[in-house]
Amino acid sequence: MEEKSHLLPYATRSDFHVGRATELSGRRRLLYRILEILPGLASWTTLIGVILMSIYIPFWAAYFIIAFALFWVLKTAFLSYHLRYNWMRLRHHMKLDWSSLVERFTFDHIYHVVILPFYQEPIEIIEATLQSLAEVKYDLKNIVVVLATEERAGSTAQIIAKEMKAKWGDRFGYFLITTHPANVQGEMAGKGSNATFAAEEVRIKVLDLHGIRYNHTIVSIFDIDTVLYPDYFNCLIWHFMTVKRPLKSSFQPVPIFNNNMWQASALARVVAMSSTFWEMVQQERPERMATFSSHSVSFQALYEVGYWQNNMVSEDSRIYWNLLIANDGEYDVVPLSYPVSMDANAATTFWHTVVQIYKQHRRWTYGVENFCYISYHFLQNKNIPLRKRIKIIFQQAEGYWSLVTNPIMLFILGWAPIFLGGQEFHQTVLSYNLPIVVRNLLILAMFGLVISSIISLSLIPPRPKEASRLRYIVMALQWLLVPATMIIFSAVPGLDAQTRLMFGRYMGFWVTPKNRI
Amino acid sequence: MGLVFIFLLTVPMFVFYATGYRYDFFSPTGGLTTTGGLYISILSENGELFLDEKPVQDVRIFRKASYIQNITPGVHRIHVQEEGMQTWVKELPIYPYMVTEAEAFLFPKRPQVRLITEYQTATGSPIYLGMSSSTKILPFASTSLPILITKNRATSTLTLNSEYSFILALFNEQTKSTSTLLKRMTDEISSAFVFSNPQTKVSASSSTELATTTRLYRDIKLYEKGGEIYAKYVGAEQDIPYYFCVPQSSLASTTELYGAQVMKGVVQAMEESALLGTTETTNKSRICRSEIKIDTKGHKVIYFDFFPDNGDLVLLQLDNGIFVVEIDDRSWQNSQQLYPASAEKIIVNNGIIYVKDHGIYFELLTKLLVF
Repeated sequence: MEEKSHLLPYATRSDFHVGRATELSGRRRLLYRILEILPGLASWTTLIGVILMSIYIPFWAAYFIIAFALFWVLKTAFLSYHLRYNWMRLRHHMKLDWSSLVERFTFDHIYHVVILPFYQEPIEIIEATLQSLAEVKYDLKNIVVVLATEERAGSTAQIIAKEMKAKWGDRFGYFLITTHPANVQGEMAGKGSNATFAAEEVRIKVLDLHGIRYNHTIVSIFDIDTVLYPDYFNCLIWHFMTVKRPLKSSFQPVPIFNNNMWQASALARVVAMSSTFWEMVQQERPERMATFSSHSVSFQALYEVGYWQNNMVSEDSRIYWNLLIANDGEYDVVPLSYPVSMDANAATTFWHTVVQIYKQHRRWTYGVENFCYISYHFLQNKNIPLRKRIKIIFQQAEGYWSLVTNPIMLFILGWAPIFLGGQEFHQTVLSYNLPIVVRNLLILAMFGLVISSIISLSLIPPRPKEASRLRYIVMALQWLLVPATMIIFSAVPGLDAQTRLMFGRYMGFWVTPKNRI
Repeated sequence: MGLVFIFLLTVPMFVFYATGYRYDFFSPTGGLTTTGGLYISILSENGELFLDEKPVQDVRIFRKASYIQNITPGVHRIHVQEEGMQTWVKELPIYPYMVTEAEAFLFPKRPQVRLITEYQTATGSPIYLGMSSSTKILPFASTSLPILITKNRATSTLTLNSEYSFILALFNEQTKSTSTLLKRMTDEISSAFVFSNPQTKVSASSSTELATTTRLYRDIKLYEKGGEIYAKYVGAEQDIPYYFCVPQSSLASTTELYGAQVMKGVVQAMEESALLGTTETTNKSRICRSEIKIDTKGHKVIYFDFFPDNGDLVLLQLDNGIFVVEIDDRSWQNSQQLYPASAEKIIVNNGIIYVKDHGIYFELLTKLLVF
């Protein structure tokens, strides 16, 4: 029988790590299935509803669209304000001398476990990550590097891992290669199952073996293309030592997808930087935050919930919800406002880039499966304050609904009453003014892009010698692509993901190919 | 919270604005006023738009369409003018919250032609042989395209104009009676020239009698009845052109707002509807006629057709010239002269108006030629 004594009481439930409705039975299964249907149903109802309204009650559809465009302008202003503020905070944090700031603390006893899940990425990607790790301003002897390989990746991955260990192993306190076995019953092959296997391996082979306490260990799980800035661990330890409840907190850096910014296409750059900006905005409102991509968390907290889920796609954000629910709502995400650099999603050809970005964003937006999980457990765990549960559900529902419906409604369906409204509507001032009002509001909202453009230029790496200075102009103007990218790489993959979940066509983990062009 | 407040405050303002409400700060009575709009498409891109004799600018929403907002309800005079072109004028009622539609057309004051001769120079200019240079080719029309007139009859340095052969055959085919021969010729000619295509449409006039053929274009049928020309809408009710209809709300004022001719048509439509026990002429907000008489100003009609590629304009060959008349009879029908004499014959072929007058063949142009 599986050992569960280390788990928090709520985490011992058989349905705590539920990944999908089919893993449950009876009424719970029905409830979870309904929750899986809800997001897609809401999005489709909205989109079809706007079309039907445009046909049958075009005046109301027009009022709704005007109100919606106005809502979008205010939302853009709100997000731009947060973005600008976080940009200033980020720059400030990057200028700080974190080494001197942490001098007042005693933290020699704290170990950092760095888990690097690794599939079939090229050696230069791993090399760059390990090099940046070796160059951090921190005592490397307190860092445990775990190169978490996959058995299904084949022998080449093992050779690369061994080569990396040979080259970098003696630089760190410990260097562990783990090999997550292939075809484990009940697991979904992906980052979550690999990371969980690696965490358990490091517990047994390093922490327990050397008597390192779990509550003195911070786990940082980084995507394999994550390049660290020198003060990452100092910044992390400062926050760890100063937050109210360090063992009940996850620490979220800002993922800046800029490693290959000068090599990636304008499309890839815009999409990548948009993701960065979204995280920057979230950093300014941590009450709405969940962990995303690379992040850090105490080993104790992870151990108490059984690590990452190995049966679903969005393990990076799901771990936060696991922790929040298992801790009865007493769990936080702490924004670090300190960057880690990652790769923009770019392939060797434009079309491959488009496909890759689409698939990556479909995987990210499949995070809507968390909505089902949260809703399900919020109905079960009454220890979490009701107000908090309602607030989170509303925020999550609005977030997933907006992601899919807003761009389509603004840029496509905003014109529906004009085409579908019929003769009676077509003769009105409202019919003629609708596109003018919506267009002007969208232009107003586009001023947010100017801020985005300026900020993005400040976040790109130094210009390589071979790159023309004119590229800066392209990089500033590339933001004009945003209306298209919002639809193609946000709304459509989001709708795709929600529809799959709605019909029970569950997604597997798709590994984003990493390559430096 | 502040943003929610701003949102709740501004949504009604935007909705009212979009609907046509305006707040008049300078009005002695103050308060909200209601406005309407005018959507006008202008066939000429350089036409200048005037509302109540005042120029209206920066209202283009498309290349050839303008939308004027904030018009106070009531009858307004709209005119469109352009140097060298005839002026289009109309008086139309503007209703609160509603947009009145119109289509303006401007054709040259002095007819513009492109002469088509049997021979042409190496540079493609038409040339008339065996004529004095002082000969006036066409007394009523002008062209800024180069024409050569020479007493010489030698053709060795000239090239045969293939278009002339085509036009000649086109005009001849309409006068011959053997349809099989005509068809054969047309087929041969069509296959021989690049400016002919399988969709070529040909219609022609006869200088001696009124054509009785009906013309159909986008659900509007032009036909002759008792020596008069009528435009009848034969399509789906919801797609009927705006000028066939008047608002139900101002039915009693139809004569005052649109003229007696519109009122007559509306009454007729209502009578027909009552007789048939149908509601085909009406919907929730308007009453639609199915038929509009084309104003020929008492002149004899020799030929009629739709103006090329336009279902709202009628091309008329009258005994005093060639005209374009709009079907829209609200307030009146604008009529513009294309050619001031009743030519021998007119043929509309593939969107081009060809005319034969005094033995001269030419294309009638609808734009000013500017070089």
